[in-house]
Amino acid sequence: MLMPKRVKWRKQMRGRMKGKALRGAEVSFGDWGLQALEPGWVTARQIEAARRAIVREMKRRGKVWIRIFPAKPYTHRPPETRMGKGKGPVEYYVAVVKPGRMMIEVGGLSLDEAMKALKMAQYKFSIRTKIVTRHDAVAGE
Amino acid sequence: MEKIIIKATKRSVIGKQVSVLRRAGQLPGVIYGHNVEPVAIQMDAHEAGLLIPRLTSSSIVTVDLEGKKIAALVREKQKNYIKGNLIHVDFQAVSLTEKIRAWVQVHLHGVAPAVLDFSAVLVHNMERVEIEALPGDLPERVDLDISHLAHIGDSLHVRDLVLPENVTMLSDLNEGIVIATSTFAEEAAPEVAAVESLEPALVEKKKKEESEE
Repeated sequence: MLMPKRVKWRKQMRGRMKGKALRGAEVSFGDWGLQALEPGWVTARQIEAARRAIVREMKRRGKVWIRIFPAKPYTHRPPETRMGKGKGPVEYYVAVVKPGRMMIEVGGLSLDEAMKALKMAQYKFSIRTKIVTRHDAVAGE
Repeated sequence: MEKIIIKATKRSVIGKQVSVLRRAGQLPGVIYGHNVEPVAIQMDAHEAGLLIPRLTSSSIVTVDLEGKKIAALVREKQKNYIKGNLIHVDFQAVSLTEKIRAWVQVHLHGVAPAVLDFSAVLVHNMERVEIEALPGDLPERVDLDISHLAHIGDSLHVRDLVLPENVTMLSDLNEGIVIATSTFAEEAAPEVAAVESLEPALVEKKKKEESEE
């Protein structure tokens, strides 16, 4: 699963997810992409599950680009512990996703294959997503 | 290409208030250029929404600003990524006698043998190139024949583009436009248990250790 190699600080504050994605909202590498429609934390496990679902559906054809990286540590207090005694241990890593963010891209597939693969990936995420083509999502052009 | 005329009026509403205009079916924009005072404008969102998405960044349009006709390029289209509609448009007024810089789309045509024979994937790295020309000479798009991509690893560069006369290329000639890459090969996924036990190294700690040494 994806996780940072080095971090400056082991634990982070939760933060807010205001607004829309200002960057990374276009299909830049492949022909089709999966775009987030709502803000949320996408876990490394979900990204890996989606990647595997796509690869399985592609049958070793085409190419996948993962455009998000789980860099934010998620901490969780162990069960039945009292309050205090500091912040809980890091459980896993998440990617902070804002609406519009292109999460995954695929290329080198036919339309049907790409739709099917991305549909399988959609089921793996905890946020609403939509499938876009390169020219739907390009803003500058 | 047919002459495209976009009707616009001057806009007095600026800043965050323009969202009121958008709700009223207007599309805010701005027109600026060399020797032209910048003017905030507004257009009918439905009409503009039908015309502007068809335009490339090198197509010349005529903006009819309250009877005054201005030749312009669509410099920037701001879009709502979720809904897909336009939220703001920048027009650059051009003089037909002055050379301008513009970004032109690269259009791939033909079939790459690498895709047919080796199931390669074409990665289109560069969608637009920057050129300089008189507004009248600006091409709508630049065509690139990809039938030369015979093997995996073959690529086409900016230098391979054939430009019309009177057009100068400004982009780096050695920059790649399209490359035929091998298809995705699933690498062995690491063991979950092994990964979970790994913790990322702390940058601060590493520095401290180095200083102690």
